[in-house]
Amino acid sequence: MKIGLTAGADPKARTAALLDARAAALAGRAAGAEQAVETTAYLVCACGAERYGLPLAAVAGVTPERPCTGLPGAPPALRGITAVAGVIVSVLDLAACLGLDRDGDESGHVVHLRAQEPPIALAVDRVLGIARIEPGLARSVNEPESLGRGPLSGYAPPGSDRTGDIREGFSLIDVPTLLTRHTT
Amino acid sequence: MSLSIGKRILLGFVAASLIVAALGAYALRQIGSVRDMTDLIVTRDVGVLRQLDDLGNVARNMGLVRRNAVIAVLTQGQGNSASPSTRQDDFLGSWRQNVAELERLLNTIASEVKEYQSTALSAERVAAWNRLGSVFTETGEAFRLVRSASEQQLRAVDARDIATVETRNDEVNRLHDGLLRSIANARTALDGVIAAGQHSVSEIYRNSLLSVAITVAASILLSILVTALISRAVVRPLEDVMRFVAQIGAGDLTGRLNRTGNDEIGRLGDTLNGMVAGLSDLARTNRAATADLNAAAAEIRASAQEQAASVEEQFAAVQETAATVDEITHSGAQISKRATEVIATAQAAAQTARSGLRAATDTAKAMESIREQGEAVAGNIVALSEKTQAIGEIIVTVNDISERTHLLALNAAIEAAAAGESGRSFAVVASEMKLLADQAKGATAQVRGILGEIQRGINASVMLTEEAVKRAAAGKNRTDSTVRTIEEMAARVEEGVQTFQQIVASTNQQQLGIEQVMGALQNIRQASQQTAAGTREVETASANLTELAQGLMALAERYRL
Repeated sequence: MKIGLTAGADPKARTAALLDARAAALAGRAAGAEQAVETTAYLVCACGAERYGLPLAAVAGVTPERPCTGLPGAPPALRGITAVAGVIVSVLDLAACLGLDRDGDESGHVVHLRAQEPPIALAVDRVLGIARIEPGLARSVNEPESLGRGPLSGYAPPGSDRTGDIREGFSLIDVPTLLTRHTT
Repeated sequence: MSLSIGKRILLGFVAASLIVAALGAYALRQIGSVRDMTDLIVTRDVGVLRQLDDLGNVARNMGLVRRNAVIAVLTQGQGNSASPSTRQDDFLGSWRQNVAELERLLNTIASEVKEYQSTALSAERVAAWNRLGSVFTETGEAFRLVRSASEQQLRAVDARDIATVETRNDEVNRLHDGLLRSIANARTALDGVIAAGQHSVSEIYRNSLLSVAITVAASILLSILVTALISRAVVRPLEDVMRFVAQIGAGDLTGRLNRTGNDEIGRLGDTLNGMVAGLSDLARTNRAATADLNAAAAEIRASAQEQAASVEEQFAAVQETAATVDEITHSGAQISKRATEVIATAQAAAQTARSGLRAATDTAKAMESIREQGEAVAGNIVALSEKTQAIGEIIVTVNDISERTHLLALNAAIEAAAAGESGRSFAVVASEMKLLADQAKGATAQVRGILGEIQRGINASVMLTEEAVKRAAAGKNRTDSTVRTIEEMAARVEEGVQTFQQIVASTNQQQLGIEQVMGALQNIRQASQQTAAGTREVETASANLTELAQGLMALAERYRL
């Protein structure tokens, strides 16, 4: 956008515009940090048109999706297994786990979950970024299951990201619930 | 009487001719009898007269001979008696010869008188001849007395008896004179006979005259009779016919002539009846036609009035036409002027067309060069497209790098979050990296979009350039056709110039013609005025015709059908 605005200008003006934009962004971030509000970080992923947030504490890393080996007799949510850094990782399709149809392209990202045995990775369309929201938006895991309770633990409405990186609203996923549904 | 009139007239003419012919024949016969009578009288009377003359001469000669003998004797007696005997013989001989002659004549005349008396033509002549016969008888008696006395004297002469001679001489002389008187009386009697003959001839003439007159009168009477008969046979029927014709002339066509027959009057009657029938038809037709004529005359009058009105309109129209033709004349002059201007313009247009031809030829060349330039541009654009593909590959690479950087930043952020408070600054770096990666990605996306637009633009440019090349070729073709068109147009303009020159000439001729038209319109105006006058006359004439038709109707009413 900024490059588009300054694409046709001379290099000096473009450099000046870039520097101004960077300075404005840094100034905005400083204003937000000064509020010093307690936030919880979520990794926001895109599955189709939906946006889901994974707790950042449960995430070990993000890699590009690679071809994985399918397992016979596996449920449809289990895409297969792959080897990452010498460890065999089971790849679950997040969209299939949530009951959504997913397009078959292999250009997505894979989110590796932390502290799971066996190691599990979630295949998503794209990892958008990290959002910081107020912790009150997520319901407690220990609450008794209410009617229709699934693996989702809450919803962050649009504009709830404190960093301003993610503008859309997204659903909060309770990773243990999700995994207990699909690994047992 | 069924004879035709011609035959009747011919019959009358024949009768009159027969009467005239009979009259002529009768008159000729009377003339012939008169001529015969005259011939007869002349022959007889003249013959008798000549014989009487001879008788007179012979008697005179006889007297002379006797006297000579007496003289001779007396001379001898006085002394001179030389050769008397011979002479006496001669006297006696000649005397006897005369006597014989005289006697013969007397007998002849007497016999002729008797004959003529018996065959005399009229009683008067018979009486005259009878008187002549009696006179002649006296003459014969006197002759005999003279003869005897003379013979005795002559014998006395022979006997030389002078005394006897002398004594007897007086007696003989007296007797001889009586003879001569008797002959003279005979001649007188013959004159009476001649007069009686003349009287008889005139009597015959009178009789003929009378009879001819009677015959003429009779023929006149006969002619009158024939004429009257012809009149009866011809004139009366003709009078009937004339009465009938007069009746027809008076207008009565109801009657018919009853006289029929084979003669001319009958045929005339038939013909007249046919004529009356024809006249009746004619009168009927005439009456109907006169009625029609009356109606037609009224219509003619009405139409003549309409015609008068239309002639007035025509006159006005001719006036307007004259005004219009005048305007046409002006406009024709303007046309001529405009045509001259158009000729100048067209010549200028021809000049322009020639320059346009040159310009079009240059345009064709320029089109050709445009096409070549367009092909070169297409080649350049293709080369540019290859360059943009290379840029796309570079962009893919940059995008991949930015993606990796994005993931790297995320992992760094995750690691920083996992590191807790010690990783906070690292998280800042990671977020910066992510920001850069996102900006790089956005920039590559923009570049990719721009590249796509450039590619589409290049494709469109290629297509447009090819289209431009095609259009340049088509433009060249069109320019060529334009060149041909301009050539044709120049030719047309030349033709147009000629045409306009012809138009100018034609317009001039048209002006002349329009002047003639003006003259003709003048004539038409005069003619329409004359026509108006004639129409008024026609109206008057139609009025007269109406009156005439009414008169004719009155006349036709005269005929009683």
